[in-house]
Amino acid sequence: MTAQKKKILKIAMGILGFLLIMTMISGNVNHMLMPKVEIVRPGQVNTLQQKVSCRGVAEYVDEISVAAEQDYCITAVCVQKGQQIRAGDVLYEVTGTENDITRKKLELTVLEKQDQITLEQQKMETELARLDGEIVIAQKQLEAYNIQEEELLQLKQLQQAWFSAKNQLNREDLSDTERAEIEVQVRVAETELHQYTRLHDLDIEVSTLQLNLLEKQNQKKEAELSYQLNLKEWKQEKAIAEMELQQYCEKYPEDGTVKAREDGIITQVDVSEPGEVLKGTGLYSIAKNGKVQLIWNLSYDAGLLFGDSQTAQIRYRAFQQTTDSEGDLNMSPNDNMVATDVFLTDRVWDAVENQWQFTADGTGIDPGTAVDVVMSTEPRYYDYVFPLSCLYQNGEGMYCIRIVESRKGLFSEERFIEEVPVELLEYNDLYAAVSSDRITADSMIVHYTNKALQAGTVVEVTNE
Amino acid sequence: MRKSHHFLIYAGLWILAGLFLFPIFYTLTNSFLSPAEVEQYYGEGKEALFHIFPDRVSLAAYGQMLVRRPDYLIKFWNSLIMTTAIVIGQVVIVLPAGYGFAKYNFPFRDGLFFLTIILMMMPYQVTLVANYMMLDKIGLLGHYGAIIIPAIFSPFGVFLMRQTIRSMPDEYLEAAKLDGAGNVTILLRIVTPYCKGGIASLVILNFIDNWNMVEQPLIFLEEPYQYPLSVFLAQAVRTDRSLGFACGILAMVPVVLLFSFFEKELVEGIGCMSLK
Repeated sequence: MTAQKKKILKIAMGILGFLLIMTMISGNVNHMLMPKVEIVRPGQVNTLQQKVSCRGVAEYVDEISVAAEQDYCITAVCVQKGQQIRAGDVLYEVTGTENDITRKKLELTVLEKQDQITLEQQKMETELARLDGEIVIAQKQLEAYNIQEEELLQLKQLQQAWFSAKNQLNREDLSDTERAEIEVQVRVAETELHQYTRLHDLDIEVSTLQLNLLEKQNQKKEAELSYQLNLKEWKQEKAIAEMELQQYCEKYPEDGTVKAREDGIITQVDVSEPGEVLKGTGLYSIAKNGKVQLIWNLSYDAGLLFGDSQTAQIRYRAFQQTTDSEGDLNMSPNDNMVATDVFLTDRVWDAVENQWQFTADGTGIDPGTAVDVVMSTEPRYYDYVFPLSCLYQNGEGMYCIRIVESRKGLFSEERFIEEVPVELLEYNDLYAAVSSDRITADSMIVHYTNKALQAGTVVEVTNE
Repeated sequence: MRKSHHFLIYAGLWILAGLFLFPIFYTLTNSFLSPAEVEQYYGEGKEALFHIFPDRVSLAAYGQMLVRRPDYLIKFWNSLIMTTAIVIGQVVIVLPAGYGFAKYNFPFRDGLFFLTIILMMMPYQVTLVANYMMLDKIGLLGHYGAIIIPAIFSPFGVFLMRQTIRSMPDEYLEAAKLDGAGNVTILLRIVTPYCKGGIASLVILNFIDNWNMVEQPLIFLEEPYQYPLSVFLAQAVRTDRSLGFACGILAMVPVVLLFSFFEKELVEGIGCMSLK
């Protein structure tokens, strides 16, 4: 072997030795730098539950606010928050001239109406008395003419006889004798009738007197009717005035107090110190039945997770209001959360959010405070449920998971990454339910890695 | 006139040499590019025609190849082991075969040799399916044997050895036989030393041929970690150019060393064959 060949051989051996050493070194370096992954196996979790956290508020059911209906000068506050009251209980002692003046005006109005009625009655009685007198006079006059009534009857009989004789003269079948006799009878009747002519004038006077009497009687009826109508109107006005006075007295008692109108619990006292209060200023709030309810809102999308008429479990806890050393108000949640099942019916849908109400009596939650609400659906079963960190979207937008597979490696058996597309069935903020034919009971699903991974990357499993 | 004629010939040769050497030079300089520079000049949509010299020399690709990624060194060893085994096995097989075809008369010798030449002329892909099925039947698929064993039986090696040994005078063999040497002794003591040049040519040509194989590993091997370096180099254009340049340099080393080692024998062997 020539010197040159020996030299080349040495160089070759040197290079190969160097590469051999580097191979061993890089193997160790590679192992040190190998991505470390943590895996989960199918079956560790098989259920998925939707949970949504939000902030709600505890409120009294049917709570109403009562405001001052006129200007008051409150002299004493007789009510405090949380007090159980009954209708008629004195809440505030007040003084106020306007109240008294108004009442006096109303009372005066009632008296005025009464005076009007009395006056109208007197006028009516006077008028009716006058008319009665006139009627009596007319009746007396008429009675005076009634004595000559027999004579008038005789006159009428004569007139009938005269008319009868006159009619017989018109007959054609009368003989001359008969006609002469009848003409004699007519002359006799006319002669007798002439004697009663003065009675004719008397008849006219009687008729006039009768007419006068009827007229007086009609006048009395009309006057009586007119006064009755006026009286009725005045009496109605008086009744209205009395009713207004009664209502006002019920509303603003004469005793200078503001009283509760209905039973309930005082939920808030807006005016807690004596002083001037203007009309419209809130005085206090009252809850009729004292029941407490929780009200919370979810976004529209979050609300879609919960179907109507579905039972959901909610857990809630109240916030306590504390004051720190600098005097700032802080809200801190209570330690204990209360869990209960709620039948989701009282939902109010909106375009952007939906609201539930839930009666929470006896929970000890102070109405008016914030409440931390965690809402969860009933767990649903799936074959494969993995932590959400297992799931990612590849370049084509498909949901995938990484499965650790084994193969013969450079130095020993090695683990490498395989990308498996999956169908995402459901997910929450922690877990995702997926399906895929590639997943088996023994599959090792990557849920944590300390380095970026891609298909084929050799990895070390740290929690096998 | 004669001088100017020589000048033109040399100039032409230098130009040709430059053209042939340019890819090697280009690979060498670009192996010192940093990954950022590779991305800058060869990234998607930024294809530079030729970025010969790096803006800033970086050993990042070599660091990646030698330290961070043992895959490529393992691929190098895969290549070296498979190629060495093929070359050694081929020399062991084709030397007696060539000797038989060259110096022995047996029935159908010329027909068999013709068949050998026919096989040599055939593209490798023609027998690929048949090879695959055979290897599958004998259970070699996925093993290095699937690459090594078919390559050992090389028609080209038989042809090369036959041609080399034919140039050897028969008197040498007759003298050895008179001295009582058997066929194995003659093959090892007489023929082999005589054919050093041919064997060197066979070694180098086969080494280069098998060092650069791509299709066979891709088809006959199953696991990527079994692949030789040539497979990665074939894919490096699309995957990792920076590492591809460094691995290209790494792949040149054994070939250059082998050629340097057998340079004299190779020239002699080719000259011997050409004289014959």
